[in-house]
Amino acid sequence: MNGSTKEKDDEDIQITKVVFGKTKKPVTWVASSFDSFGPLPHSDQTTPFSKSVSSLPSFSSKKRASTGCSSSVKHTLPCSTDTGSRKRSRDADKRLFVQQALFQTKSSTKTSHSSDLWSERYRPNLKNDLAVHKKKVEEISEWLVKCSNQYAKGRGSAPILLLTGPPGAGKTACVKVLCGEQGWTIQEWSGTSDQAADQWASSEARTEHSLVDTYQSQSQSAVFHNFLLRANKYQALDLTGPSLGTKNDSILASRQANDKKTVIVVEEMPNIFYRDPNQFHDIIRQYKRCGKSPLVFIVSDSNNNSSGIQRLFPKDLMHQLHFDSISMNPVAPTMLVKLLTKIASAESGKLPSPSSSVIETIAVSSGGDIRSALNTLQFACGRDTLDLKAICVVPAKPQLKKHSSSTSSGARLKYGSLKRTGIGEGNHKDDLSLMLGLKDKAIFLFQSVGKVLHFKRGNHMDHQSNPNLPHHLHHFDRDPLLVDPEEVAFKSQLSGDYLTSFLHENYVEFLSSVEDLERAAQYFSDADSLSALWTAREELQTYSVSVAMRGYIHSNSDLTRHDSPRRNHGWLPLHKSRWFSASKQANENVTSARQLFKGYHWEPEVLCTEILPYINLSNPTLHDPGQISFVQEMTTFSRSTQLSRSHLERLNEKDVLEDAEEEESIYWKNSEKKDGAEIEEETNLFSSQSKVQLLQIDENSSDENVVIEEFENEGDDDFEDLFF
Amino acid sequence: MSLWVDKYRPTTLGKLDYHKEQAAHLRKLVEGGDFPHLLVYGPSGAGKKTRIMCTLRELYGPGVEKLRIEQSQFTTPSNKKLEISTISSNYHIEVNPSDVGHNDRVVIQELIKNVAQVNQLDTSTQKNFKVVVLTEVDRLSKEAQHALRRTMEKYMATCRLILCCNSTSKVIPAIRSRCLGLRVAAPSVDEICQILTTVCKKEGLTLPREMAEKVAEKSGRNLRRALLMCEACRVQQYPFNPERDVSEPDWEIYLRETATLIAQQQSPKRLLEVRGRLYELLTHCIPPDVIMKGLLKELLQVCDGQMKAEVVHNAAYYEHRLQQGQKAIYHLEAFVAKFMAIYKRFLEEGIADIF
Repeated sequence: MNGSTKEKDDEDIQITKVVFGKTKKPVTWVASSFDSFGPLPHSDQTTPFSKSVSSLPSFSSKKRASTGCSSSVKHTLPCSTDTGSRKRSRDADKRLFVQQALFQTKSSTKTSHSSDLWSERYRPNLKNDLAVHKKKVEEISEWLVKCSNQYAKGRGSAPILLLTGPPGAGKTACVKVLCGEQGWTIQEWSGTSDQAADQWASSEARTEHSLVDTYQSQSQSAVFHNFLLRANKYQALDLTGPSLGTKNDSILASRQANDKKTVIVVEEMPNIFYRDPNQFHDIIRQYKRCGKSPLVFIVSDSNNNSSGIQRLFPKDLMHQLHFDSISMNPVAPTMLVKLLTKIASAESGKLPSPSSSVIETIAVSSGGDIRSALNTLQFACGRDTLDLKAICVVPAKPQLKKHSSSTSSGARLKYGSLKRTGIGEGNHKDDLSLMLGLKDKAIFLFQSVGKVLHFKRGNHMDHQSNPNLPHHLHHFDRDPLLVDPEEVAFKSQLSGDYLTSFLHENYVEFLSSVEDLERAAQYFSDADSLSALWTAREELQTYSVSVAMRGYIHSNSDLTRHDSPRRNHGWLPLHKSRWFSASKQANENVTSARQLFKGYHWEPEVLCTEILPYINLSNPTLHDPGQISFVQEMTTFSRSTQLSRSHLERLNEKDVLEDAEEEESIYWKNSEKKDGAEIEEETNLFSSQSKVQLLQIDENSSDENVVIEEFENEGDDDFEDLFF
Repeated sequence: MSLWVDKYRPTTLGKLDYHKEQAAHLRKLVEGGDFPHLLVYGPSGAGKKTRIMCTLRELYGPGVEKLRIEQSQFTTPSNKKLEISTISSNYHIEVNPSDVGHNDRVVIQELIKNVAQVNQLDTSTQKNFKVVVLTEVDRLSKEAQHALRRTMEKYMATCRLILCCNSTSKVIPAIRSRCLGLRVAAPSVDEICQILTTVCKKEGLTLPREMAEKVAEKSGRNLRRALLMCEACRVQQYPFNPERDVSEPDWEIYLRETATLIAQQQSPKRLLEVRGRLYELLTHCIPPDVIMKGLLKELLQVCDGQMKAEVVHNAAYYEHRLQQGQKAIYHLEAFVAKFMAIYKRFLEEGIADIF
């Protein structure tokens, strides 16, 4: 490199010093808005970039890896950060111009790119376009209005909203549309991927100055912290507006913008917070103290990361900071069908539109995920995949029969109904879902336990292939199962151990005779002893859960035939397995017993079965108040004759387990704080009855009411529908 | 203040009250200045640990009685931190490895290594080995026991092990053959009576003979329990009144109530209730095998002869499962369900016979 480029380098460095993570969106605050353009001193340099990228392919990775190296380079350079910031203002004018140009190219490429995806192209713009349940839209809208009122009054701390829901339920779209309609400006943090991409992009862009890399990495949490506090203080600098070519204009604009109301939307949490939620909590507390703009957290809850949500947003924190919380449901299938049909017909000019049955299949299989439904639809309509049509149409027919009437009347079209069409058709469905790339749905714990407990049998006559049992084994004869226990176990994504323990907690209520109980309990015991060998535990777990599930199903002698009358036991709430909490508690008790009665140095067994009870009886003078209360606690047993299972232990529809490993390791820790949080969280949960109604996703609120009544009046079938 | 159990614990082999012959043997064993690894076994409350401490005192002198409690930390290969409390003097260290559950192997290996690798500085005045006392060896996992057997041989030069357990049936044969077995039988009722009387005399109390016998009977020949009971009685009513019942620990009463519940009614609903109680017992740190034993004892009282065999057979079966498996509740409940089924059949047959 010659001397002149070296000078340019110096300039670049000054700017790249002030990198903040977030840059993709034009809407951001002053400092960071420079960063993606930092490396571009002049517009005429745009051309060399692409060349240099290809000529130095290994560069970016090398640089990212060597922070130490870059810092040493920094020392050799004469310029420092403060000179840089002084210079920045001077440079800003000319650069803005460049940036402007670049942004436009960037954004234009982006739009042309995004229009390829239907989920982007048909992004809703109006409230009425939203496929989300009206009530939910209303709820969010009300919240925003409330914020607006508060904002106008200019007092009170910042309201915070936690918006949860499955992916693709329209959370973000909803917020964006509503904010747009109510005149809020959105400042968005959308997380880590952007940051990574920016690092990548900017490092690529700077290949020319490979030797003087000055990318300063900041911890994600610091970036997030800065974002929140700055986003609150400063208005966004709208760089994309066509009138803003110069600095003066931008200042003007920001002044105007000062009157605007801003909502801060945080979508993807920096990963670090999942590991260290306390850090996050501190930042949020701080924000609550000094922030003014409403803050919206949008978090997807799925099978995998619900525990993450619980850790990031523990109930006590939410209570303390007056969080509002809105939970979105998956989009109703009827809504989705309407939407898909509309879009398909809009697209039909170019492409032949798929039959309504295909659309229905897609809608049902998407599980309420608009995004994935649209993607699937697009794929299904694509020119290259037209040959799939033939397959699509055939298997979907029986389902149409089932639902065609219901669709029009707005009644139930349910997710998972694919499963109900019987075994023969099921195969077709599998083919179809393979062809269309439909979602492979994981099922929640609640569902999987319910599926096994409320198992169903098919008609024996349909499956003549089953050999008849000899006469002396006749009482073991059962109709074929419609549920595949292994599949349920597989889809539940839980270790067999956990699933078994949840089944165990709940199976008793589903059996009526003591003989059945005896056999089922025996099978559970078998299942557990299968996992006796720790070396083979992993492998045997799948078998052990099979033994437990099939054991229970087979021992249920009430339901040996497909048409056996079901006992009308009403709605049986499912419960959480108590084993884990019990053994945790026991371990804690042992630990505290040992700690409190150190001086006695007895083995824990002796301590708990002999010493402590007699200490309680003989009442020697204990010096430590902790000892006294502990002894009392350890020697009082709850004698309530009722089932000592409160609603605390109810298994909720959306509940998930903590990591298996974590749960186990808790045994040895004293995580009292977490404990408390969990309990509180559980007390705040809806009663399962009200949750049940949420599962019935219908579009009209009047329909919802009807559904609830059905629940109260009808028998089991409705409850069982939950699981199938 | 300390409990009588601690207060009147004999500290030298000469002061032991019963099994005096065995005490003499122990003294001879130690006199040589060296002894093999020991495996001390016997029922709970028979005085195993007392004997071990007396032996150590004989060996090392009164220095052994200066005990300190320490927390040791170990790290598993999977980087998990384990904490375990140890009781040690300058000459010995006592640890209960089963405190750390399935990670006991790490503790065994690391701890013994740590102790054994340090030689005594002054071998002329002191023994050239230290003693590691491991309690509840029968609760050790198999892996830990195998680890132990290797460690035992490797560090024979600098350390002796004294293993203490209730039953040798859960100790692997390899360990049993490497140790000198020492069985400490439970004291007889007479011996317990005698000890109770002596202790009461030292306390300045008079204990009627009948009372002493009653307590001894009730204690199930468990000296520790007998002493604790006696002390509890003294607190509740003095002078002792042989007419009054000896108070029992709460969990035993609770367990008896549970057994009554099982015998009263056999239905899924009742099983749920019983399960709740079993959980309650488990959270109060009553070991599952103790629960099983207690339940069996109570349930047998409502059984007639023929049924007893079947019930005991099943109890043994599920107790074995209990030891093998992970989740005690499955097996406890399976036993309860089994008993319910058996008992219900028995009742129904009885009714059929009447008509």
